[in-house]
Amino acid sequence: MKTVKTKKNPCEKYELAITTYVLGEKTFIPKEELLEHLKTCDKCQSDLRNWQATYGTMRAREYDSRPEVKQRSEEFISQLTSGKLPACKVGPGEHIVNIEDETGHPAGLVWHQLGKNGKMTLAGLIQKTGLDEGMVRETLGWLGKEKKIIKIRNHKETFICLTEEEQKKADALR
Amino acid sequence: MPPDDRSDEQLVEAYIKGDGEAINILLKRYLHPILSYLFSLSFFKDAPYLDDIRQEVLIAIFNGIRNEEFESAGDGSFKRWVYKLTYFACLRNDKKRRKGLKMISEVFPESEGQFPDEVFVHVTPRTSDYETTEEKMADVVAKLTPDEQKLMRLVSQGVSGEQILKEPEFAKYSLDYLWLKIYNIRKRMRGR
Repeated sequence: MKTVKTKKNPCEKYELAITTYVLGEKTFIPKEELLEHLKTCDKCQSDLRNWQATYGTMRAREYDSRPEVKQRSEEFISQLTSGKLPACKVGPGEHIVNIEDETGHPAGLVWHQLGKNGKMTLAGLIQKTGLDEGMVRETLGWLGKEKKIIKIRNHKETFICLTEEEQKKADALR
Repeated sequence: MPPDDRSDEQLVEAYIKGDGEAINILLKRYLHPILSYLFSLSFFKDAPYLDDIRQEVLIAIFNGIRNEEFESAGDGSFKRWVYKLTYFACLRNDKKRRKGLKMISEVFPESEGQFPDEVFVHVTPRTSDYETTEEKMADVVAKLTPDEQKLMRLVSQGVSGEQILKEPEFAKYSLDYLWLKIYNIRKRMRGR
């Protein structure tokens, strides 16, 4: 086992303690002693600042070198400057939902059921797709905006069916 | 794309005059320095947490420029403003996060004792400490032995001393010797 051999330097024990202190590891001397010494020693203050800056730069460089981090950061800046970020603050434990991912897939389920069954009611779609009412309504908004469905209403009920063009696509898949 | 040689203040001015790309260049320029500064300042050396604070700072910079909260007072004033925003964002988030933490080991498993009342140490880094750090580091790291380079890579990843000693290259070291190795490397980085 190798042992520590150091040259004599009055501040060396503090400099060694600074090394581990910045890394969040146990210090060789009590933390209070180190902090007390730092109050009066300019040399050690400068050493601490320098090691903090070096360590911070090393950690940031390693983290930012990951391709996924780089991509995420650049996307974030692009969204920020193009006004696509939320107007409200996203709190801790909350995250931004990708609406396309969350609604696109259920919308596909609804589209397939309409293609298979033709004209359907909201209740029928809920039953056949197994989605909750809120989600089915959301997908209808989505499909309606994409001009894939038509709503037909009589005095009692509202029905939904695919447009002629979409129905042909659905038939071709079967 | 070649790096833009316009100063920060010139980029702010260009953005205000309608050059939309100037703000992207400016924010990308500060991505890395903001995170470096946060790693130095924050009690929590936790990359995803600090990345969230960085995003908060980027939003503050962007909104600050749009709302004309930043007033140029010459070369270097933008940088000072950015570091000031970063400092306060870090302070705010660290305070929030440390609420409820009692033992320091909840943050640093190797450490003992009560969580300190003061998150920030008495000495906080100066922005000027960052000016030459990257340059010096690249120079020194290139001259390290492969084992030393691996050691610094592990330190950069936030791996604890105990974990580093489990690597075959460092298994013969004591923890004290490991710290001495890092201490000597950092002295070289400092150019003593």
